[in-house]
Amino acid sequence: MLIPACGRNKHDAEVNTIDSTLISQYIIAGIVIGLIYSLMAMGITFIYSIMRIINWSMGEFYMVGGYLQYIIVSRLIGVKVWYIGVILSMIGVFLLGMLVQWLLIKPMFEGNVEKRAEYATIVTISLGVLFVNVAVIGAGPFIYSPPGYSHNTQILTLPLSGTRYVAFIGTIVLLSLFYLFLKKTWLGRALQGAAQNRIGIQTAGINVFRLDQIAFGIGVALAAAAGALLAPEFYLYPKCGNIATMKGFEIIVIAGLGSIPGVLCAGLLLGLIESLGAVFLNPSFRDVYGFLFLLAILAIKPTGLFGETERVA
Amino acid sequence: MKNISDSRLSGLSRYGLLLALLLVVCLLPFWTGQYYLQVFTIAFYYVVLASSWNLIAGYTGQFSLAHHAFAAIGGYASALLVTRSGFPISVGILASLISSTLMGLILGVLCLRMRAIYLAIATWAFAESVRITLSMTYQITRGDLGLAVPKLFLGAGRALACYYLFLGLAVLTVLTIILINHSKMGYYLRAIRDDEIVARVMGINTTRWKIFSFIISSGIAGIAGAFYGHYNGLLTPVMVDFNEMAFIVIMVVIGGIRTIPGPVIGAILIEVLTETFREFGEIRMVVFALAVIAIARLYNEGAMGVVRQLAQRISIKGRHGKV
Amino acid sequence: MKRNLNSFVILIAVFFLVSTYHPFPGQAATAKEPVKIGVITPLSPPGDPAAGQLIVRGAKFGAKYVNEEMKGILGGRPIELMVEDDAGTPEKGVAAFRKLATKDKVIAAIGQYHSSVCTALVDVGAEYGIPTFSTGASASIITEKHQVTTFKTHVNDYDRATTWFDFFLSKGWKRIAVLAENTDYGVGLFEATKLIKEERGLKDVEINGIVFDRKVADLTPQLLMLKAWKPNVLLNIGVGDPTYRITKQAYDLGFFPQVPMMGAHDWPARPEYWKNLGAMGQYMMFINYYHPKMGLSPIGEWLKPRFDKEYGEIPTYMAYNAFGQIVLLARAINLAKSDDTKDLIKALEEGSFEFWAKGDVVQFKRLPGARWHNHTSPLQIVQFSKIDQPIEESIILWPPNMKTGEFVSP
Repeated sequence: MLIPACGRNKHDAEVNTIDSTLISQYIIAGIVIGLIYSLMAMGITFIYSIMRIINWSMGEFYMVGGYLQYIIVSRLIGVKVWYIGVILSMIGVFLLGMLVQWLLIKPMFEGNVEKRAEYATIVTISLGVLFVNVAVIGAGPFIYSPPGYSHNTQILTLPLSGTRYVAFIGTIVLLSLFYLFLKKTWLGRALQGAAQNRIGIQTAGINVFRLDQIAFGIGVALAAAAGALLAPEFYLYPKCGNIATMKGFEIIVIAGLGSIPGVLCAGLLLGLIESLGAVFLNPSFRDVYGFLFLLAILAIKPTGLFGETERVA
Repeated sequence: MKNISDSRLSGLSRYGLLLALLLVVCLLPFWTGQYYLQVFTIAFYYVVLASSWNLIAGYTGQFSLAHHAFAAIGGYASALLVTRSGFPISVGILASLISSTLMGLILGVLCLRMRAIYLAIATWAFAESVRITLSMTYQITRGDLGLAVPKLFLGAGRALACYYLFLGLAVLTVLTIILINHSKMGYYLRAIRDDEIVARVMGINTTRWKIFSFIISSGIAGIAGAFYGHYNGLLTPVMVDFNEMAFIVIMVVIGGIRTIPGPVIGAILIEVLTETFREFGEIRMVVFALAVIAIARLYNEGAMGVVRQLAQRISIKGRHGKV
Repeated sequence: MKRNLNSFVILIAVFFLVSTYHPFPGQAATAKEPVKIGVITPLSPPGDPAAGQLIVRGAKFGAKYVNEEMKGILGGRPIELMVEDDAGTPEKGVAAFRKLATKDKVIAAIGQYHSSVCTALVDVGAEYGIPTFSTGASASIITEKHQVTTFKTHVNDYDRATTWFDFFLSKGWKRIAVLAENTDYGVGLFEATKLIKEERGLKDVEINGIVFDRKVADLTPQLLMLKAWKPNVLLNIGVGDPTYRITKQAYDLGFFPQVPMMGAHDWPARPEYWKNLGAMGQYMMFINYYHPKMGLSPIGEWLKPRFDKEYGEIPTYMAYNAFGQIVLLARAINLAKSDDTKDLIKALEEGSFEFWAKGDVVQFKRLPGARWHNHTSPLQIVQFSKIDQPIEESIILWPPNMKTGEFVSP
């Protein structure tokens, strides 16, 4: 094993109680966390599928969503109706996203900027830096812990915190709604059309720039939802978006850009790989396993497991 | 699209100007105190990083987000080798060159067929792996605790010696970039950036030159990182934080991407401003981020563009009769 | 035409030079010029800003005491604090200290809280000859380097580990689970605990530990593993966010308080503890340095009501420590009768200084090992038996001569 056994000393007692209970606990924990991560990744891949850009500041939108939720729940409506807070913060971030898109991303398509990908990367990275530092100035460096959403419960063999359980359910609800939106509503199908054939949809008479704006808004709203759902679980502080960014990007690389069902699979896969790696190998390296998997995918099939086929043009 | 020749002044006045500037910079230590001596030393370090990143991202069009990782690889390679085996620092520097160049080669090959988006993600993933590895193998690298690095130059004149060392590195780097730019390689790289398919059709071996740019830029970054470690006496994985990469991007964009003086100006400007306005804390980064967004959105050419425009306006006024 | 570009660039260069002009050292201090003391402490993540804030508050009051009660030092010169944020990272700390040393010319630097940062900073202090005080950083290596500029008024980790080890043995707890963060502090304490077991040749004591990355949010897998091992007690060796995460996630998994948990330092004594954990915080044991039942010295008594009035809460150990260090430094400067760092170091080594705890007198002697220039405070193990329990009502479980009650469990 190339990974040095940091954190384990030869004098320590061996953890030899790897039985079926522990494995089942890990599998369930992996599925739960994996699904929640995929909510964040969904936003990134959705924006990519419409506009072909990567928004590097998704983690910061996650953070903003979390803070908004905290303010709404603790100052305005109280924790009993926390789900209203999630919806409200999603709407707030949706509007913010539309504004950002209109100001910054839209000009990219009006033919004024040389290298699109370079521009988008520079601008979204800077946006992330901006948001993080504004958050420090506005909210201070301290961590905020919003009140938990629900009392603790248990899924099969795994005792689970109420908040994580509720976030899990919330994620399923949101993803299902998103799926229905895409498949059943006119707007959803228009967006799918834009993803498949941007020029075609313009010839059909649809204002693709308006679609861009909405897509961006939806994408960041999804990230904000993840932030709002997970706020009591992982606490709120200006840099809490870092983890979201990391996990989100791991998932989209594994899934391949542009594939929405792929994100779901990849999210679950990531959660499982991390959990099982922690159990069978070394728990200190938990975050590394997902990353190694990501590197392997990049090396072997850079477009990801479900991604679009390579188009050089 | 600006051509390099536009920024060239003619003959004597250009060399005179550069020489004067160099003289000023060499004499700077006797003008400013201990504190700014340090600040400028670090600024020159960033000049090296910014210029070498501009080569691969600005001139070749490969928007790598792993540049800071190469600096870290170089830094840790040299530090670990010197600490553990007692070799002199010069051997350490050689080791850092080899290791960062090798990693650059590997990454370059991996990213060969990747489009811009995937390249950014792949290089990002690479940098994050380096960071996690450095952090997790703390039994070797001391991870976040910080690795004590044997110091280069000891004694009273140390600060001065380090200043000139980094100044020398910065000058060397910029000269290298100028040489590359004016050579065939520079021409090929710019062609690749503009349109890779067309370049290939024209007969340019895009594979070779893309990998070359990766190797050269990562090698330069590695050496810089090694010297930085031996200057600072301390290395931590913070060097490979995404923030450091964002910093480099900010410097180059504000200075003027795809120009030679751009990264130099950007690096020195941002570093000096960051230190001077320390008390303002996060507001500095807010201002920088807004500046980058404004520049990228409104005025692509950064500080160098401003200088050029001003120069042209001044020269137009001059041509219209005002002496 | 080109000439105008030249002049423009020259103009810029001149502007640059003027703004960075800094006269060479050698300006003699005038009579009432302030003496500057640096406070380098974590004020933002990934450091522990709650601790840093306490330190800054204590230090500010220390300056107030010196300037108002002592009427300044060296014949009326005020003390000026230069506060810098090290963000818990050695790099930032080193950069901040270098600035304080070269630009502000501080005579001493206090406020260190994170062991990793302090370990790096004492080297900088040695390089510039500036006395460097650890206010809350406990790793033994800080003083083991035996640098003449390093001073510490805080416990060292070996003593800390000995304290809980003795306590565990007294309760018959032989299976010790450890969750330690990957810093000097976490790894150092983990190693110290294992070392004590080796030194005492305790074959029947088992220690199972996992080192985790401070930045990781989800520690469920690690906790599940340790829980499955069925330990008697879990050591929570983190600083800042990780301590809360470990507690919360262990609670969610039904690990705590079913298995007792010991905090490695006094983070539960802070006001935000109950706000962050609520009912989950009950039954926590932790290492404490200052229990309100212990008495205060005259300067400690000076601080307590004023701090309470200003911030609405009584000072905790870190605030007292920072306060005490500033006052101590002022007295040492007066003893040295000069603002030169060399004289200050001599005075610090020769003098005896009143500190903030009752009857506590600080001396910095060149003792072997980690006791070099180290004044330690007493250690207790306390426990919160009720929800929202203030620190003065917590049960002191250890040492036996201070015990006020028995260990409670649900």
